[in-house]
Amino acid sequence: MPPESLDGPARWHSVRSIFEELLGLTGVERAERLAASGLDTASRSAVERMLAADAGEGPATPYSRRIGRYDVGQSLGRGGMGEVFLAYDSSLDRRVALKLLDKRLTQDARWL
Amino acid sequence: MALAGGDRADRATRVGQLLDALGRGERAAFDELLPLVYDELHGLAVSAMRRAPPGHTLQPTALLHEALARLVAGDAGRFESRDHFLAVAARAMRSVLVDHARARGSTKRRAAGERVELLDCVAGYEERQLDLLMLDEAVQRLASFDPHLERVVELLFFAGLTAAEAARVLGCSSRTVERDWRAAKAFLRAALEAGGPPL
Repeated sequence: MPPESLDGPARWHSVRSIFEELLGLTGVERAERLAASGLDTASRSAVERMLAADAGEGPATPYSRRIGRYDVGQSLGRGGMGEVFLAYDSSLDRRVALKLLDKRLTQDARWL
Repeated sequence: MALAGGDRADRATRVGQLLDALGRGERAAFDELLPLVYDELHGLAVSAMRRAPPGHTLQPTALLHEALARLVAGDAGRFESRDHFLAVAARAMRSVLVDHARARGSTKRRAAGERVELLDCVAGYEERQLDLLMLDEAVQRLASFDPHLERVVELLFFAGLTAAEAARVLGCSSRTVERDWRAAKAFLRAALEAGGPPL
């Protein structure tokens, strides 16, 4: 069956399965496997764009610093003990609120 | 069944029945629940936004849980109902936000001192600097290929659930959800680039 005759869902299915297969390969292996995949030009380009999008994965917001697994962004508010920041948790792949304690608390041995 | 005069007890009973029907796989229940949940979520989001201090962000998941508590009243304890509810609520949340983005687009200019817009207050949308309408179109395109991925996107992105929570709602493993999410995200991210949808 020529690839052009594939309908949307079937085309997506083959693009997705090659995309997932290529995720586990290195750059050179990817190119070889993609060329041998039998996908038409448009589908190969879709796989490449999805791989690029996947590689560029990360927070879209400008986060100003990194603390452990958190990318820390803008301040959301301040309380008695410290300040709460918008942050991106890279291991959970989701945004969280991160509370950072005031220096006077963290540097005071009684609190540690 | 029509809801007479917004009677809370009647509504809670009806919502309970619909959730049970949804649990039995009755698709029509989803469609009947959707406007009820939409109204509740929209009302909650708007009132929470009015109460909130400037710079405060609403958590979509918190809104969903509050909506569930209000709609189901005393019946909220049933865990299964909660999962069925979340499937509907994720779709409703998406509609609330997309409708809002559309309405805002049509009234671009705001008077000074006008109250903060809903989208500005919902954690995870404005900060990502996404064009919600474009994203919604891309989600519809993805859904035309694979409707299951649309639900994954709604639960994880629009409702802010974790992969484990979404897995329970969808009745599959977290691993499957994570794989689906990765593929869906790659498609959607690519779709938001200058080249448009990759497929």
